[in-house]
Amino acid sequence: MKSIRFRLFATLALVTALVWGGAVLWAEVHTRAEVQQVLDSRLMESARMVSSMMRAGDVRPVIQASETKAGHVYDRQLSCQIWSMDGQLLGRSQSAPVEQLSGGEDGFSEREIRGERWRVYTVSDPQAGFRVMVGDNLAVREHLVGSVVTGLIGPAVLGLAALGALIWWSVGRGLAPVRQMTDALSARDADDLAPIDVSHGARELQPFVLALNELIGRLGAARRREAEFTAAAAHELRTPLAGLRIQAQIAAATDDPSIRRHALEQIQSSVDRTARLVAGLLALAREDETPIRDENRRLITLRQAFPAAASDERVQFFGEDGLLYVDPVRFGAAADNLLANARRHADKRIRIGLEMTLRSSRLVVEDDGAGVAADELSRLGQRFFRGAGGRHEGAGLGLSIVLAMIKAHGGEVRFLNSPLGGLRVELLLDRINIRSAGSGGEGRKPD
Amino acid sequence: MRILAIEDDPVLADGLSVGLSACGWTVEQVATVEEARAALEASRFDAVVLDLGLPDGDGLSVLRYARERDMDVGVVVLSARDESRDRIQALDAGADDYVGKPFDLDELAARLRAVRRRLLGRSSPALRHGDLTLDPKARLAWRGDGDLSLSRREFAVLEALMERPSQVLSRAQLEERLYGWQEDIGSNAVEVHIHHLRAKLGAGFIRTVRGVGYTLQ
Repeated sequence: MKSIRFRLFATLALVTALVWGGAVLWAEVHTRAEVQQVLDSRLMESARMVSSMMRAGDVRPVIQASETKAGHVYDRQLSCQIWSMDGQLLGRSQSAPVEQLSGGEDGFSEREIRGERWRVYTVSDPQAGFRVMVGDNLAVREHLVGSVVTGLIGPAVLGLAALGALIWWSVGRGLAPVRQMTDALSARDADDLAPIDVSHGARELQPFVLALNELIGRLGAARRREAEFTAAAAHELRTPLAGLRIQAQIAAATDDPSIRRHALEQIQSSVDRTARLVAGLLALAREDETPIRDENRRLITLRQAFPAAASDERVQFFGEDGLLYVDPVRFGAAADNLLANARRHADKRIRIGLEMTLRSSRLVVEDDGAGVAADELSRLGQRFFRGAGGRHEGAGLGLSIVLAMIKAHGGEVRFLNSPLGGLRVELLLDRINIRSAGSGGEGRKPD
Repeated sequence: MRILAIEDDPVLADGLSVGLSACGWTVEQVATVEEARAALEASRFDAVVLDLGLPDGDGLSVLRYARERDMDVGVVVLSARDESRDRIQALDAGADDYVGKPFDLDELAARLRAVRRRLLGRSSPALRHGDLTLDPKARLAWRGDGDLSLSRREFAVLEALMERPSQVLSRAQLEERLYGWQEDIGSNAVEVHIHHLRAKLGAGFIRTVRGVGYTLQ
């Protein structure tokens, strides 16, 4: 994993080094040119000065003996020679070589004498009959320029190191809010789903914190739903367990065979009912109401959706010209529960069919049973709700499963009283879920 | 003892009915708040076993209904909600005891006996009158010299009279305690049991208060 601090530091340090290095390079080039120019004009000045003094006759040229021992490099910077026009050495300074420093033409020139390069300025005075040459040993000159430039680069390198340390420290300081948030988050208890306080942190972090808070909120809601569901499930399982326990106790304690047989029958029916309750709970726990995916949709007929109807002669189908375009597994779970509910309560008739109008399409399941009291219609579909009248075998989960599955299909469920006398369940389905048989080929998926 | 079991789960309700009857009690059974109110209104019960999660409402509303009318009845709440705040709520609403599901039948019976005892202001589990002692749990009766052999209903009549020795119980009150709603009662069933008891205990033990009922001498 890359560290933001390291990346920021590397980028800043590189950019700073480039800019800094460029500036130093420019200063070096500039300084070198400047020093050359200054030294050149010193050569020129000196040559002209000697020449004018010679013409005025103020000085008499002397040939100094060559110095044998090299003193400090700066001691012998400038060397001067005075030649007659016909090439006779009239005089020279102590540091000057005996060879002629230049070819004799006026102005600047360079020449190599005994392995050393010289830069020379020559002034001729043909009337007075002499020529003055003033030269710099280039090695000495380079040494001078070099020490000036070194004096410049040394502090620059030190400055760059200091800047690096400063950048490292500043980046760390700038990232302090991130570190604080990390510390706060990692110190958090796993159960602590309170949102993170947005008012303190840096403004740049706020979108991140808000997104995180939204996630925490969703997580909290999911956890609450789960806890409620678990509590409700535990609650619902305790009653059948109590029934089983009491019946088992009766069977164990009695000497009367008919009482024992009755208790064992009760145990059997309770075990069956509890098994259905557990199956329903598992179905609901799996069903998280996530919308169904298109690749799971299949075109099925009404009769395929209600396979159990074939064995019940009370069932009448109508409006069969429509096809369902649904997830067969999840829609099937809803259909099974609807039909089981209708079969449990119906007397002689169960009607299942599609009602399609221009504006809406719905699947209807209705029966001619005793129906549901008006004040209980609205409570149908609530988990574990069993009608007051019906001491039936259900666990009160079937219609909850229907609600969840139809919601996943983007539909709605309505509970009404049927003209037949019993309950009428309408599944209001989105157009995508129902196709008329005529145009059924459209969107068909190969199985 | 006459008990009203208010429970909507058919298997558990059946178990309560059979199991508590085996303790020698008369058990009536209802499944909804509405039926429970009607039953409490219609006749007297000594104790109520009350489930809280009923299909048409909260069992606590039955409890409040009974307490608002000062019904002299012991209530044991039976609930799948087993957290202490649920227990506190039920006890503060007037319940005498609270049993979490699932429970032991013998424990429920013992709690019902204890609730009944407290309601009658008694601390000893045995009932005594003169030299006669009744053990409601073992359903045994004995007099100084030895055990008495009593039928289930004779024992119930004697227990009812001994619970409130100074009170006169009418024939209808005794019938209610002896028979469930579904049972056929002979027109002189109570008189027959009293007759048998007098034969076993001596003619003077149970006194007839003419036109009112029976009490102990």
